[in-house]
This record gives sequence, structure tokens and C-alpha cells, in this order.
Amino acid sequence: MRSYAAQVTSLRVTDDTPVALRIVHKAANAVTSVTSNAGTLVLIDADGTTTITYATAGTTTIGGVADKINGLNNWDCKVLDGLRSQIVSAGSKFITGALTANVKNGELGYDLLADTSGTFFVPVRVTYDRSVGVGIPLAGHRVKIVNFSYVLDVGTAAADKVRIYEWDPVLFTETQIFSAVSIDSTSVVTTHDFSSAPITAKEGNDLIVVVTDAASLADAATTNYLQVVYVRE
Amino acid sequence: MASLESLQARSLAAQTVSGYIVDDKSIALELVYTGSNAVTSVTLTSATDLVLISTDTPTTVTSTFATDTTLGAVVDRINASANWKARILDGFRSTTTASSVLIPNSAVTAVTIGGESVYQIFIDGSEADSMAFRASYDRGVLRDDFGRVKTQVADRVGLNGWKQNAHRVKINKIKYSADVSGATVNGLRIYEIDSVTLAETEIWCANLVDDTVTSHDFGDFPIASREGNELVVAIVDSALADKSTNFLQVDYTRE
Repeated sequence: MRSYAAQVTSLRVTDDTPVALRIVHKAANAVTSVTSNAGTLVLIDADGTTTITYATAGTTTIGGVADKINGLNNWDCKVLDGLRSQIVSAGSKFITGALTANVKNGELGYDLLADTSGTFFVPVRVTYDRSVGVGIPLAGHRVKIVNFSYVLDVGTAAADKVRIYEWDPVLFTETQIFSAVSIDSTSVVTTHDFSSAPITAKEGNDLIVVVTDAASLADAATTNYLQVVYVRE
Repeated sequence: MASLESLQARSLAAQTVSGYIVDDKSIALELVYTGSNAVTSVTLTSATDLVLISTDTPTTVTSTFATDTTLGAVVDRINASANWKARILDGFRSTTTASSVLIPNSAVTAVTIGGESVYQIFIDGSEADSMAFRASYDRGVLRDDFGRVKTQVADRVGLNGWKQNAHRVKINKIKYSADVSGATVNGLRIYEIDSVTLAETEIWCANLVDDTVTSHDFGDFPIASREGNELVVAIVDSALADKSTNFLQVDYTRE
């Protein structure tokens, strides 16, 4: 039955569009604002204000910020295009400004976007469900990467700068399972094709494809992208 | 979640079809008259407006492109009128109506497709620097490709138990030749159109190849929409020139 319902889809990110955190408001009262600042994330609703400061111990990583939000009564979130272990306490990690609510897969939420040139990190999370609160059971579902392609203006082509991680939501581990050399270009597409043997996550796990650089990943609005074709079943 | 039987039935009933677009034949809009009187005229002035005249009251619906600057605005205006309905096909809600992108620059004659009398407005590829094709379960406005009356409401069960929400499309292969500026990054694109939110999200791309028949075969992993959604394949460039050999072909499965 899973194979009949399986969907092959593609997810593409460009400069500053990876969704580091998907945030939803789960209380009945109204949201006033969700604002991303250089060193803080501020969540305001009718019950009050929560300010998460990235330099504070416990919220210096994406995972720490996510855990803080999920510990609040009125808010929930999910780490999407990023790793829990990514440091956010220094430098420009997120796109700043007021976050506007949007509806994705029937869920109203807010996207905290990653600053790709600030982090030198372009990630895409391959997951069965990109929602926070819809609550599709993970057991029985899995994802498989068919191929991924990119054109990215990285600083220096280098070994182990193209990676795939597997996220285990039970063990709470992010394990690197694939590595390749990065290619620097603003025009030539680099493709890793697994169509004869797709990289398959364990049931319930996610896969995160990452292209990164040690020193820089310049914005190139018309050419930069990372795209992953995958099966969700 | 759907039952195993319904998924098996959907798979058995699946149909693989092909859409083929040549120069200036991407259909921006299809319009149908829904009133009980008669159509007087449908006239497009490319740089200015689209005027629909019937013998109803009010007689005239005008979409002025200086106000309705996108196809989405044009369709919304038409669909808000009493006696006309419209649908965007091989274009996007964000497609501009400026710069004489829409053709023909004249009166538009109705054609019958799938038992439905429709007026077709096309996109001038060299003006828009784009050509596109929408892979949809059906390409009708009020009737599906089998001539059955359909609804646009999610989960509505139609005359033959047909539920729009349970259908999807899968792109098996894209083939094209287009006289473009060069190997444009992100020049060949697939968008997924959300039938509920109307969001148009780019999900896949490839570099263009200039003036050479080029194929992208998704083989055992055809790109599939979510249930109820559609996929639009588009060639987007800075300088798409008219040429008799230009074409875009999309082989897809509708199920």
C-alpha cells in the first residue's frame, strides 16, 4: 500500500530560503508578532512575550532554540532545513525581520529562514512531513533520495563539503552517512544520482542534504540552488 | 488515509498522456460563458484589455490590464462576474499582463474542447520570454476532459464519484527545443500549484540547452504532485525567440 501512495517530489532551495525552523502558534489567543533579530527571536501573543537570545546557554544551537520553543505553552516548532547542532550564537544565522504567517499543507505557521551566506551552509531536509502539528505518524513512513543537484558559488571546492545526514527522532542523533567534494560554480550543475539505488532512511527518520564551505558561500540570486528529488512513502 | 482498494483503483485507471506546445500556443486563460443568453463578443486588445460582451445584464465585463496586472487578477475579475468563468492553464497567477504578452490581439473565437465551448487566450512566447504547459488531471474549465461536469470544491464527490482531491499528476518526461539566450541556469522549471492555497512553488529546475532537442526523463521516479495539485513545466529565459522548431512536450500520468 505504501508504494501505491508513494510520491516522488522535489524540493529546491535558493539563497536565504531554507526554512531553519517552522514555528506554529498552538494557543487559542491571537499572535501579535514573530520577529527575527540579529541576536534574538521574539514571539509575542496575547499572553505575553518570549524572547530567545542566541547567546544564552541552552539556546546557542538550532536544536537548543527549537527545544526552548517546544517547551513553551503557546508555541511549537520543528527543525527543517538545518541541523540541531548548528551554532547560532555568533554571526548572521537567520534572516532578520518580522515573520509573516503562511499556510503550508493546511497548517498556519512562520518560517525562520537561514542566512545561507552568513552560515556558509545550504541544507534541505528530506522528510515525509514538513508540518509541525499535523501529526502524521512517523512509523511506517520513510524517505529515499533519488538524486540531488546544485549550482552554488562556494568559496573553495573541498572534500567533505557535500554531505547527507540521517536524523533519528528517537535517538535524537544526526549521523553523517554520505560525503562528497563540493564544486564551485555559478553555471554548471553538479548532480549526484542515486536512481539505481536510492539512499533510504530508516522508517521514521529524515535525511538532510547539505552543501557547505569553510569560509564563504556567496549569494547569487539568479543561479544558486540546491535541489533534491526524493520519494516520500 | 486512502484505502488500499482506492489506491489500486487509481493506479489501474491511470492514463499516460502527452501535452505538446509550440510557439505562442501556451494557453494563458480559458473562458466559458455560463449565462443563459448569448455571447456577443470576446475581444482582446493585447496592450490594453480583455472585453467580454453578452446579451445579459450587465452586458460587459472588462479586465483592464493597467489595473489587472497579472493573470491572477484577470481570472479573479472574470470569476467574480455573473455569467463568465475562467481558468489559468499554461501560465501562472503571477504572469504579467503587460507588454502585449497576451494574444491574439483581436476578437477571440470559441472552440469546443471536451464538450465545452471555450475562448482561449494565449501567451506570446517571445514577449513573455517563456513557454509553459500545465499537467493537470483535466484541462477543462467547468467540464473535465471526458466532458463531465466537475466541481472545484475539495472533497466534493461528483456525478461519477469523482473527487478532485484524490487525483494527482506525475511528470514522466520533458522534451523541448527552444531558441533561448544560452545555457540559462534555472531556465527549465517545474512548479507545483496548490489547488487550495493557489501557491505556485518551484520544486525542480535544470539548465536550458539552446536550440537543441533536449530531454529530461524521470524514469522510475516521475515527479508527482500531491493529491489535488497540478504541475506546470516552464521554459523561462531572458530572450526566447520565435522559431518554427520551438516546442515543449510533457509526458505525464494523470491518476
